[in-house]
Amino acid sequence: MTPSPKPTPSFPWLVIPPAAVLIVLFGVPLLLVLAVSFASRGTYGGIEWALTVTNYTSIADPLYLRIFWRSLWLAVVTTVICLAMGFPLAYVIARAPRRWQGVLLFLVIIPFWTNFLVRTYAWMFILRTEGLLNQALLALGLIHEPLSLLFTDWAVLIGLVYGYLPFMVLPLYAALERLDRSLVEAAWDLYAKPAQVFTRVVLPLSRPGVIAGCVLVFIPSLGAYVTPDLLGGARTMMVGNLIQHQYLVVRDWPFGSSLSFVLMAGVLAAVLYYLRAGGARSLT
Amino acid sequence: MDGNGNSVELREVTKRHGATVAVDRLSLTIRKGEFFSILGPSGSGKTTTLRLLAGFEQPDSGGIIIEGRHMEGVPPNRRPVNLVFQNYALFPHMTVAGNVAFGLEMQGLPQAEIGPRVTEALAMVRLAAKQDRLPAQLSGGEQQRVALARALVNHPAVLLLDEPLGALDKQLRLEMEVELKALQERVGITFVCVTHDQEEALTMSDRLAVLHQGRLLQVGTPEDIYTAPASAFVANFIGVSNGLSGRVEGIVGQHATVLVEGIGVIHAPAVPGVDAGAPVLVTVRPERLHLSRDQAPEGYQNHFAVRVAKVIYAGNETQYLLTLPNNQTWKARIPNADGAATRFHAGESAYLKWRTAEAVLLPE
Repeated sequence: MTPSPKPTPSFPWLVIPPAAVLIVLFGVPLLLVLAVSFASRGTYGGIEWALTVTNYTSIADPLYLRIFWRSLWLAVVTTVICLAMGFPLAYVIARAPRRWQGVLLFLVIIPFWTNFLVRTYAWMFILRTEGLLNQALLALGLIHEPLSLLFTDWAVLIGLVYGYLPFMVLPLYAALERLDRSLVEAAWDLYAKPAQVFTRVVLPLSRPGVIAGCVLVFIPSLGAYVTPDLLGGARTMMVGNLIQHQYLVVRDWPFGSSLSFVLMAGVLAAVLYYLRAGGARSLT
Repeated sequence: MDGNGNSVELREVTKRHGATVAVDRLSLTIRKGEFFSILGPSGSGKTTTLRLLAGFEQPDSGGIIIEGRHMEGVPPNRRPVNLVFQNYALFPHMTVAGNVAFGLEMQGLPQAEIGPRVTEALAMVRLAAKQDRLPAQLSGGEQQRVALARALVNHPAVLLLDEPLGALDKQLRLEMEVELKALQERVGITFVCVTHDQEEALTMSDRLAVLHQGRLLQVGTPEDIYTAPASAFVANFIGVSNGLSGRVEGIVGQHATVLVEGIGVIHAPAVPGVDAGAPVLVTVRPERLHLSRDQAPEGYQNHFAVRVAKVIYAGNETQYLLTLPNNQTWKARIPNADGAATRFHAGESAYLKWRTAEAVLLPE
């Protein structure tokens, strides 16, 4: 009998602390929210345990559907813009001399050193009517009247792209950095024009990075709260703001809970669909 | 005159990488249908030369002419050459057939023409049965044949090969040397092969160039270069050669006498440009040496006593490491045809002999 290979040491007890944290701080609250989403709002904003599904059926109101639709649309456009901007950036970093790559990646990550809220306030300062952007454009003579940028969908879009671009760049960089340079040269040598080198070789081989980057940008964009709250104002509400509004302003916890669950289900469905469609192709 | 028999011409090509000169005023003419090797150690500029031909890099000065066309400013995708990469660079997300079809698709050929040509190319490298596999599912030798098919299917004017056998094991390399040469003769395409392996270059090439530090040292047939290396570097690089440093004592017609300290006078054929008093290296190949127990010259002009330091039995021949009177170590390869009686043992004394014509005189 041949001796069985020595088993790799495993430390199952190492799983216990993170599992405990996840169960107590994530699993239990999630179940609580699920339970509350089937309860009713009390007269003074409390929770009455009269089971009902109206919290879910009332989401079908055009008012709320429009907010869901706007959130989805903004998240998709944010993802597409981040991909379009992040790909060239990641490509340049991945092709830079090795000693520069660390520096360039560091520059991509540096914004995280400052609180996201503070950075979003900075964007308010840039985008408002008397803000830096308008002053610059007026000084250059490109416009004659200040543009109203703040509190529009555009401002929200700019804020989302700014906030989540690093989440696109990092996985794309990881994928492109692994891409063998000689494959690009081989395609070029085999009569491919630069655009064909990109579509036939670079893009298919960086697909895992594209998928990871899109998921990482799409999910937080869809549930964004701070950016639409500060840059979009009252007119451009996203789902995140609607949920906050239900919990803290309207004090309708059951409806806020049902909205949270519909958002979660939507994200899950979208990501699963995307992974299946993209993942299946990346195998061929 | 460009198109007449010449496939590739390099004229005074220079390429710098930062402060180092990778290729230094290199001029070469490669004929149509020739298997041409560029041989040199790493850093000799051979890979840069290949990349200049492929178009991945542009020369700083000088010109490259391929099939009569000046290549200045012509990108790789518009050059009539294809490169077989050292690591093969097969597209991992495409099947074997997909890889081979890539170049034809990029040239915009109709599907009806691509199919048969891919089949033909795969049949040529005996991989028709594996056309639906992914590159990762193939062995190293098979991957290399796919890389060859992927390049040859385009019928390029020149096929460039970067260390084509470097990644293969010894046995497979010997088979592929023969196969590659046979393939080249069958398709009649000019092959330009870069290698650091002198054995590979000598076996496969019609002609070869030896490069060192970006400069061309010698061009010629394998026989030219093996039997008449132009410099001490070429002699050393082409194969293990024995050398003795000395000074030319005198030259009479075609015959030079060289005084070697600790040994005496050595006879060698004279070479133009080497005069009396010049420092020279006398080289003799290990297989040209004769070893005997008899002190008599037996017709050999050079002969002196040596001590056998080490004996390596290698089947058809025996290799000896010999200690010369000046304490240098030489290598001798003696055929085993004569039987065990004529073999020497370590520690034994013997007489080393060779004819004048077997030595090559190189200026130092």
